[in-house]
Amino acid sequence: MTNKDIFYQYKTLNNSIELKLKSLDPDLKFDGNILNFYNYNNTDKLELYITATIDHPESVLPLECKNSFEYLDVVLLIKSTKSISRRCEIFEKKGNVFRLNLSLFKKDWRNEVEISAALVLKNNIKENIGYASVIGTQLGWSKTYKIFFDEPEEKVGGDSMEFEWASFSSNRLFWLNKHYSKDIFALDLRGENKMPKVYLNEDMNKHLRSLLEEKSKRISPKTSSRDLMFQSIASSIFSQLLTDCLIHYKRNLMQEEGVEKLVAIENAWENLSNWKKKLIENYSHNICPDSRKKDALDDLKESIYDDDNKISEILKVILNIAQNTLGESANEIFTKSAELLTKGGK
Amino acid sequence: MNKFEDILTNEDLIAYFEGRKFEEINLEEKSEKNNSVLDNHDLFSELQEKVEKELKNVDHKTIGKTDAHFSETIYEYLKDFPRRELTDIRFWQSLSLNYLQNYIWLRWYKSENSSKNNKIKNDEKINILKSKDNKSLFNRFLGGTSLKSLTSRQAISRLFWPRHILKDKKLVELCFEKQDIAVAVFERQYGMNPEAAIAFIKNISIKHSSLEKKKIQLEAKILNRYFATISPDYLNQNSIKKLLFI
Repeated sequence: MTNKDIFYQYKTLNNSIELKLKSLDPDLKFDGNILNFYNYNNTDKLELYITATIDHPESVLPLECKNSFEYLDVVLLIKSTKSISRRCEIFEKKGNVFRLNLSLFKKDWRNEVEISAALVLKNNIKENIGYASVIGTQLGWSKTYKIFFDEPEEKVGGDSMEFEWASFSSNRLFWLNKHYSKDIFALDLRGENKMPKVYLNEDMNKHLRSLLEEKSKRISPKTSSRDLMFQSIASSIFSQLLTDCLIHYKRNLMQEEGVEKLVAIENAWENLSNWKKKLIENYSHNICPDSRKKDALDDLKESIYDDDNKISEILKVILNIAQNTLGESANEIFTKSAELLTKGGK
Repeated sequence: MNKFEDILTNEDLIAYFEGRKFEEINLEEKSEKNNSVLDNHDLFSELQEKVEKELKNVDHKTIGKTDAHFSETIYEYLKDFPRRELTDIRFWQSLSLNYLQNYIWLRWYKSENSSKNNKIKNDEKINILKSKDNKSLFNRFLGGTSLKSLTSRQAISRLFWPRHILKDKKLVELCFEKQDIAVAVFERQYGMNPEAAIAFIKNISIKHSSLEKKKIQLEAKILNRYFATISPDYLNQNSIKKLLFI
């Protein structure tokens, strides 16, 4: 739960708090830091034994605060946005280990519950430069465990886009029938929140299909042409996906009329589906190359809010964003193909 | 049958008013108190009857001032339902459309014609929803996927959750007296924490008696920033009050 991007003006723990969660029911097992509790239909209650250990807690306090745990508490933070719940429990100290028991009932929780530990200041203390002084200030963190009370959304079918050969004249792809039945490829974005799908037209010229289905990795005019085609398709699809995501975000923002800026931005962002958020997040630095990498996403979200022309400006260079994003591969594939064909022409 | 099987989309909402039936399922968890006395349908019908009766005393001009009142009514009927159900948007969608939609139309459809005596016909509802000016109505009926959709947007759950979190009827009145307070608290993560929500609402009117929108927003923003480094979940109301008055 620690945010590495925040610059803390006070000392925090050098090492993470070591947090261990163990279910008292031996059948309920964590896989790493995740427990899929929704898999256990016959169990209504999850009982956990939780321990935390901390290295050098005294390091976060000024020298005059000698007995660390007079000034510090170790707490367990239990948070679930979907359950509209957040609370904290204070660990009991036994020697060098902090421990507590926690029971979670199925009837109280929905979707994902995040559990982590934090070291906090117990009371206000005298201000001392370089040290925290306000009660509740977080001075150290553990990794976060996740307990899923419902199957995570949008996991079914995986996160990658599907490709499928299909006739653009068929009833199934009715939306392509009238004007686009002879096209080579199409991107289905109609599901708004569902993962998009790429269709390749099975009615295309059989030589073209044969080339696109060519598996060989050997460098030849044939594979070079195939790679060029794939590059062109990938670039088009990326541009269309990104355009769709940005326009959706802008549309969400427009529905937040009259809402405070930061809240509007947060709402518009949260109302995007996961894949759209991920796409914008992953490529925000390509879209805002002048921003620092860690600020790019926030800068992008804010600039679209502030400037009605921002999306239009981005779309004017979307092909370049796509080329930059696809990295060396675009340049490389075009160049290799050119070299091969010009050498072949000699 | 107490909630829709699937979450309804904007298109589904229009289809609902066009007459399409959507599959419903039973609640997964039983209400602790109502189970043996009334089944949920009876309970919801009773709530509907009470709300309809109370709507007779308001019109589209005065209904904006009744949030605290209806918050109490709805809370009284639903307070014993398990949290798991009360955080399921399908439950609120079903309750809203099947039992409480007259309230939602009167509260959120701003029109001179929408009065208590002039119920909107289905054809008109479809046209209203298809009109570009009324997009926010979808949020009011359907909510969404974010935290705010339950605590601040969906027309019925936004009345229930502040009452549930604040625990105190008087505080709910204060919260809804100025809608900016409700938005400032219940559209933020710390609004999920009762101590933080209560402390903010109790003290904002002490610090800024005029309750100007910008002042409320600024204070909420400042508190949010404190909570980047301070754990709101660890603090009691008094400590949070001190943060507000630093």
